[in-house]
Amino acid sequence: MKAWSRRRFLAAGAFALSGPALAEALAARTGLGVTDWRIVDAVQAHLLPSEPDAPGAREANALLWLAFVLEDPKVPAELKTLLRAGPARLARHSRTHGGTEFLHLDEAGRERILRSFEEDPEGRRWLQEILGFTLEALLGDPVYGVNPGGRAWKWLGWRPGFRRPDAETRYFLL
Amino acid sequence: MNGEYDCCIVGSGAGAAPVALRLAQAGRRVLVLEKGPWWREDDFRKDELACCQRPTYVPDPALEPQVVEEERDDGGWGRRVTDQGGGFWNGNCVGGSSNFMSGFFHRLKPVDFHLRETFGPIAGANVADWPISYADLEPWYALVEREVGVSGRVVAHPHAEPRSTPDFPFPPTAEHPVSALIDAAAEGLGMHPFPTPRAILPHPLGKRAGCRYNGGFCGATGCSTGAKGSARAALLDRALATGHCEIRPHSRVTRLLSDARGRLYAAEYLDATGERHRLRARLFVVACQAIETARLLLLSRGPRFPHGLANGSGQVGRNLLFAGGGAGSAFLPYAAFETDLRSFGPFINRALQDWYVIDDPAVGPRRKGGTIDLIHAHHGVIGHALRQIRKGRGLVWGKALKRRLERRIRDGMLIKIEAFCDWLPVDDCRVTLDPRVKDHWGLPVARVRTGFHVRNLEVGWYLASQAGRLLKALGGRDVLVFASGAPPTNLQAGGCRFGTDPAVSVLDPWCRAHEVENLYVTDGSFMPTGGSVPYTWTIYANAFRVADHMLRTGAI
Ligand SMILES: Cc1cc2nc3c(=O)[nH]c(=O)nc-3n(C[C@H](O)[C@H](O)[C@H](O)COP(=O)(O)OP(=O)(O)OC[C@H]3O[C@@H](n4cnc5c(N)ncnc54)[C@H](O)[C@@H]3O)c2cc1C
Ligand code: SF4
Repeated sequence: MKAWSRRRFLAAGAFALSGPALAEALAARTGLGVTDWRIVDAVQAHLLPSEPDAPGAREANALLWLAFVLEDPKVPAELKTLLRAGPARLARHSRTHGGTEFLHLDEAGRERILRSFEEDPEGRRWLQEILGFTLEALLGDPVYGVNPGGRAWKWLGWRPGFRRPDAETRYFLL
Repeated sequence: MNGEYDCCIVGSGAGAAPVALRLAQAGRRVLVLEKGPWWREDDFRKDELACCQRPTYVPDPALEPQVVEEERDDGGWGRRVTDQGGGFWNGNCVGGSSNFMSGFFHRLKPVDFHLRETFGPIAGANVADWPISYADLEPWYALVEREVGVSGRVVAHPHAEPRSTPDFPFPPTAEHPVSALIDAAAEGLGMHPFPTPRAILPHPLGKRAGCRYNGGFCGATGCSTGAKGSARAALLDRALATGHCEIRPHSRVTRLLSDARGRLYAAEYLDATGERHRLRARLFVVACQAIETARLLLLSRGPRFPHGLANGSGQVGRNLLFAGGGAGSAFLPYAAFETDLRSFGPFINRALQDWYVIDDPAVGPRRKGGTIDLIHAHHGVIGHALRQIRKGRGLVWGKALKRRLERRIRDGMLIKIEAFCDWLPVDDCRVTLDPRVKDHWGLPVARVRTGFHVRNLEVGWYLASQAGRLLKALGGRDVLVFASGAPPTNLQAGGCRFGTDPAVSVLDPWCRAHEVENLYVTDGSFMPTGGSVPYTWTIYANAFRVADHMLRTGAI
C-alpha cells in the first residue's frame, strides 16, 4: 500500500475500469481480497443504484473512492479497521442468514440480507459508513476523481462555490 | 529579523492580529508565533471534503486530542478523549479560526457590561460585571467596522445599541430573495428584523477583493477573495507590509518562561520538525483562543507560578463561555412560494433582538434574553445528503434515498436559526490540564468540562420558540426548534476574566495579567460574561483597545 502515493492513486487511470474488473485491480493493491471488493461494489450499487437520469455509486466511482479512503491518513484508523472488516462479516452473515453467498443473491435477496445485517450493530455501522463514503463520491468535487463531470450536482440542481479546488489544492496536499 | 523582539504574540487569530497590526504600525518589532501553517487566498477552496469531512484546517486529532467532560443525564460526568475527532479546535493556521467564520457580527449592548447590577445575582452562576462599560468599547467597535470591514445597515429596533457613527462604512451584502419574505412575516408578528452585520466586504478594498457570494458556503471554508474579514486578510497582511512584523507558522508554543521575579523572558516553541527554540522578547501577548490560552498558561509554570502562569488566584481556565442556547430549521419547498427562492450566492442576513432583554410576565422577572440569527443551512451538499440517510432507527438507501435527495436538495432549501442566550459562567464550565492524556509531544492536553446553567436552556427555548413562530409564519415546513446545552465548539470565550480584583480575576481592565507585568491576553478569554451574541466583533474591538493602551502607556 505504501508503494503508491495517494496522489498517484487518484490519477492512476483506474477509472477506465469499473465494477468487478476494478475489484480485481484494487485487490492487487489494497490488501483486501477480490471477493471483498466485489462485495463492496455490490453493496454500494445496492445502496445507491444507477438510474438513467440520476447517477449512482458506479457512475460516481465510489469503489475507487473507498479504496482511497482506506489509506487516507485523515480518516481515523479505527474507522478504517471497521471498513475493512465489513465485507467478510457480511459474507458470513449472508451464509448464516441467507444460506448463500451475498454475491449470488438477486436484488430482493440482497435487500433482505442487508436489512438483517443492519440489525447487527457492527453491520449497521459498516453500512452507514459505506453509505456515507458513497455519498462523498456521489457529491464530492470531480477533482478527486469522483462525481465525474459534476453529474450528480446537475441532477440535484446544486452549484459549487467559488473557487473550486484544483489538483494542487486537494485537501491532502494542503 | 533577528535578536530580541519588542513583542512576541502567541497565536495569530482575531485576538492577536489587531495587536500585531497596531504595534507594527508604531514601529515596534513584532513576532507572531502560530502553530499551524500559513495558507493564503489561493489555498482556500470551496471544497466540502476539506472543510467538513476531514480534519484539514485543524490538527490531527490523534496527535493533539483534548478531553471533553459532558454532563450525563444522571448528573455524573462522561469523559471523552477526542483522538478520533470531535475536539474543540477550530482553525489552526495563520489568521486562526477567523479564516473560517461566517462573520455574523453583533456588538454587545450596554446592559451586557452590568448584568449583575441590572438583574442581580443568579444562583449557581458566577455573573460578574465588566470593569469597563459599553461607552469604553464603542469607539473600538466603530473602528473595527472600518479596519476589518463590517457591512450592514442600521435599522432602528427596540434593543438597538447606541453608535457613534450613523451607519456602517460598507453597505450590506446582497440579499437572498427569502430575506424580504422574512421581513414581511416578522413584521406581521410585530417583530423587528434587521440586516445582520457581516464581516464581509461587498466591494474591493485595498488588496482585498469584494465578495463572490458563496451563500451558505462562506462559513467553515476559507475565503478565496479576501472579502471575509479574517485576521489574516484584514489585518496581518497589513501588519506585514509595515516591515516590522514577522509571522512564523508551524511554531507551536509549549511554554512561556518566567524568571524569579515573575517576569516573562522567553517563549519556548517547537518548529515543524519538532526542534525546540527559545524566543526572547520584552512583552508577550497570548491569543490562542480561550481553551488553548488557558492550557498554555497552566503549562507555563515558573519559580513564581507553581500552579501556572498568572494563576495565583486559581482563576485561570475558570468560567469558560460559549455562545449558544437554541437552534432550529425549516424546509422551504420551492414550489410553495411565488418568489423564486432558487438563489445560491446572496445571503439571508436577518437577525432579531426583540428579546435581548425578556420582559414577559409569563417567564418571570425581567431577565437577559438574546439574539436570533436566520441563516442558510451550510451549503455542503454531502452534509445535506448525509442528513437524509436516517429515518427513525433505520437507514434509508436505494431509490428511496435518491428520491429523498431530490426532495430535500433539488426541490427546496433549508433555512436555519441560531439562538444565542447569555451563556452563564458556572464552576462546571472550565479548562484544566488533563492528568493522564498527553499530546504527541508529551504535554498534558486541555480538559474541557462543558457544564451549563439551566437558565441557558430556558432562555434558549424562549428564543427558539419565537423563531419557530416566525419560521411557521414564513411558510416553512418541518419546522423544528430546540434549546440546547451543548457548547458550540467554535464560539469560545472566558477562562481568564478581566477585573479589578486580583483575587477573582486573571487580567486587569487592560487585559494585562495582574501577576505578570509583561503578559497580556487579547483573545476572548478576558470576557467575564459573553453577551448574547457571537464574540468575534468584541474580540477584535477589545484587542484594538488593548493595543492602543500598550502604546499610549509605554508598556511597549
Ligand atoms: C465555522 C466557524 C464559524 C464562525 N462564525 C462566526 C460568526 O459568524 N461570528 C462570530 O462572531 N464568530 C464566528 N466564529 C468564531 C471566530 O472565528 C472566533 O471567535 C475568533 O476567530 C476567535 O479568535 P481567537 O483569537 O480567540 O482565536 P483564533 O482566531 O482561532 O486564533 C487562535 C490561533 O492561535 C493558534 N494557537 C493555539 N495554540 C497555540 C500555541 N500553543 N502556539 C502557537 N499558536 C497557537 C491557533 O492555531 C489559532 O490559529 C466562527 C468560527 C468558526 C470555526
Ligand atoms: S467570497 Fe464572500 S461568501 Fe465567499 S468566503 Fe469570501 S466572504 Fe464568504
